[in-house]
Amino acid sequence: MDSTRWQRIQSLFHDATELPPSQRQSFLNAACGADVELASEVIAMLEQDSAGNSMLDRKLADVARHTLAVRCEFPLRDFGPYRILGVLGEGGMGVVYLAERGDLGNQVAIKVLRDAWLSPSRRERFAREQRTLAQLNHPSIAQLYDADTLPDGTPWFVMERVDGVALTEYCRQHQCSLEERLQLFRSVSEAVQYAHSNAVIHRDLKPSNILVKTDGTIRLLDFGIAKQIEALDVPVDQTRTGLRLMTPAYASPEQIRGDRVGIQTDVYSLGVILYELLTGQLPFDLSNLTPAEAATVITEHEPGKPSIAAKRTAAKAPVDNAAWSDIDVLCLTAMHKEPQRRYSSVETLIRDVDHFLAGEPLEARADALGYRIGKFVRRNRRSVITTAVVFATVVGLIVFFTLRLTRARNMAQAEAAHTQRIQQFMMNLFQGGDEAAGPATDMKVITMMDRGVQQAQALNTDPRVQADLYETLGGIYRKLGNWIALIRCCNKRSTGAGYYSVKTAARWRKA
Amino acid sequence: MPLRNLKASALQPCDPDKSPEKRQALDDLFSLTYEELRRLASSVKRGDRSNTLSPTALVNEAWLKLAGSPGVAAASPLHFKRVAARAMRQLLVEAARRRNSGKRGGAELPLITFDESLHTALATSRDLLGLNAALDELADLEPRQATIVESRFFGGFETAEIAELLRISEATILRDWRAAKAWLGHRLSKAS
Repeated sequence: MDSTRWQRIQSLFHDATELPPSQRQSFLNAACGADVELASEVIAMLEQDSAGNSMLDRKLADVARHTLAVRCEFPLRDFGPYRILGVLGEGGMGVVYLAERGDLGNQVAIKVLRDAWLSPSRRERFAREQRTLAQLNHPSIAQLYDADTLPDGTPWFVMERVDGVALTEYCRQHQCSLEERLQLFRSVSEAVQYAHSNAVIHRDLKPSNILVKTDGTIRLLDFGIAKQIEALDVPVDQTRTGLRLMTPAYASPEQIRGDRVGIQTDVYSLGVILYELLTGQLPFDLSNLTPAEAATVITEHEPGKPSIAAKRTAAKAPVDNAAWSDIDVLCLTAMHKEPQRRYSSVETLIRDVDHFLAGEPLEARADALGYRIGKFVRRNRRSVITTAVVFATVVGLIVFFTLRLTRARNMAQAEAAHTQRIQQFMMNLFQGGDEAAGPATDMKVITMMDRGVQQAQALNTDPRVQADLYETLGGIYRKLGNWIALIRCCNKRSTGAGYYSVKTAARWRKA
Repeated sequence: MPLRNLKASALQPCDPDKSPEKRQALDDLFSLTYEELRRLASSVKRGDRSNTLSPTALVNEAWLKLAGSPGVAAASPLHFKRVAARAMRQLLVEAARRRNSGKRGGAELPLITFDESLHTALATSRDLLGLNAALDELADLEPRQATIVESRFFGGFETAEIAELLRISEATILRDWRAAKAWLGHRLSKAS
C-alpha cells in the first residue's frame, strides 16, 4: 500500500467517526466513488472501532501472564556427552535433571537455568568463572564438573549428584541434639571458609542448598550460581542483586539494598541458618509480607533473641540460661545489620562455635565491649564533670578487665565465669541510651560510679565478684574524693556550659 | 531469537540523532534492558498468583536496577521506558513463539506442565504473534502510530508521557491510537 492511499484511509476514517453511524455509509460511498475497496477498508476499520473489543485495550498484564505462565520444555535429549534420564527436581531458578555420562557411565546432576539468559558478551566471562569454580575441591562441597551456555544463552551446570536431604529437614528427622546441630553447622562453615579462602562467595546460603547424606556428611550446592543469575554487565567490583531472585529469609541487608557483597554476606546467611537450627524458627516472619515490606524488615528490624524464640517453640532440650545467652551472641553477631560489626570471617565464627562447645567465653562479647568503650571514650572527650586523671583510671581499669577476659581462654572454667560476671557488670555500667549510640553524652562519671555501687550491692550471690568490684570502685572513689568537694563548690558557680577544664579545676584547687 | 533483528536503533521516530555511537549506545541499552526485563518477568511468573505483571511496575523495577549502570545513566527515564517497551514486546513475542511451538516435539522429556487455562493461553499467544506482525506492517505505513501502540500497550506509557516523548498533543495521540486500533483489529481479523 502506498502512503497516499494510507493517508486517504486515515482521513476518511477520522471524518466518518465524526458523523453519526447512520450517515457513515452514504458519506463513504460519496467520498470513494468507484473505489469500493477503499470504502470497505474504512468500513472494516469503523466496525472494529465500534465493536470496541480490541486486544490493545486489554491490560498487558492479562495477556502477558497467560503467555508467560506456561513452562515449555525445550526438546533436548542429549546434552553434549550427557544423556538425560529424568528430572530430579525443580527449583526457583531452573530444573535439575538426572543425567548419565555415556562414556564414563557415572551419574550426574545437570542444572539448567531456563529463566536466565546471558548476553553474548557475558558468556565468555561466565565460562571462565565456572572453570574457577570447578577447581573448588572440598569434601563438603558438591563438585562442579562443567558449565556453559546453550546456543540461546541459557546457562547450565553439571555437578556431582548428591543424594541427601536439606539440613533443617535432616535435623528434624534425626532429632539432632544441640551439639549435633552445632557440629553440622561447623562442617558447613568450614566448607564456606574454604571457598572464601579461594575467593568464592556463595551469596545464597540456605538450608535447601545444604544437603546432608545418609552417612551424616554435608554437601554444599550452588556455589557461584547466584552470582551468575544476578550479575549484570557492570564493573567487576560491583555486583547488584535482585530481591526476588534470592530467598529473602536468608538474604543480608546489603543484598536487599543491592550494595556490594562480601564474605560477611555469607556470614550473615550462616547466622540465619544457625538461628533456625537452634531455635526451630526463622529470625523474621516474612510469610505474609510483600517484597517491599520484607525488604524493610530485613534492613531495619532487629531479630528477636534466639533465647526468647526458643522458649516459644520449646524445640530444644533445656539448656541453661548462660548458654542461651551465648547463643544469642553467636547468632546476633553473625546477623548484625552492619557487615563490619559481624564476625569478620567465617573462621572467627567457627572459633566462637568452638568456644561455645568447650564452655569457654565468646570472643564476640569482648569485641562488643571494646566497641562500647570506644564509643564512650569518643563521646566523653569533653564530658561534663570529669578530669583526665579520673577518666584515665576508669578506662584503665576497664581495659584491665577486658584483657583478663581475653586471656580467659586459658583459665579454668570457674575462673572464666568469674571474669564473665565482671565483664557483664562493666557492660551494664555503660548502659544508658541504645547500644548503637553508646551511653548518654551527659552521663557523669559520678553517676556511673553510683550505678556501679548499686549493681555491686545487687551481686550478693558471688562474694568474690563483689569484693573485686568494691575494690575497683573504691580505687576510683578515692581518686574522686579529692575532687568531689571541689566539684560541688564549682557547680554553684558554674558557667552556662557547666564545663570545667583540668586547668580551671587545678587553679581552684590551689586557691 | 537473534536480537539484531529488532535493533533499538530502529526507534527512529523519537530519535533523530542517528550517529553510529548513538546507535551502538541504544543497542547496548536495549540488550541490558531486555535481559533485565526477561529476568524480572521470569521471577514474577514464578511468584504468587496475585502478583499482577504490570508493565509499568516491571519497567520501573528494571529502571531502578539499571539506573546505576554506565550505559543506562545517559538515557532519560522516558527514553529508557521507550527502549523497555520495545524490549518487553520482544520478550513477549519470544515467549509466545516458544509457547506455540512447544506442543510439537520435545515429548521425550518427562516434565511438561500446562496452565489450566490452556485454551485461552494459546489463543492469546497467537494473538500476540499476529499483533507483532501487524505492528511491523503499521510501522512501515505510519511509524508514529506504531510507536504510540508499542509505547502504550507494551510499555505502559500514559498519554501525557507519549505526548512529551513525541512532542505532539494528547489529542493527536488519542486520534492516532483510535485509528491504529481499528486498523490493527482489521488486519488481525483478516489474517485469522
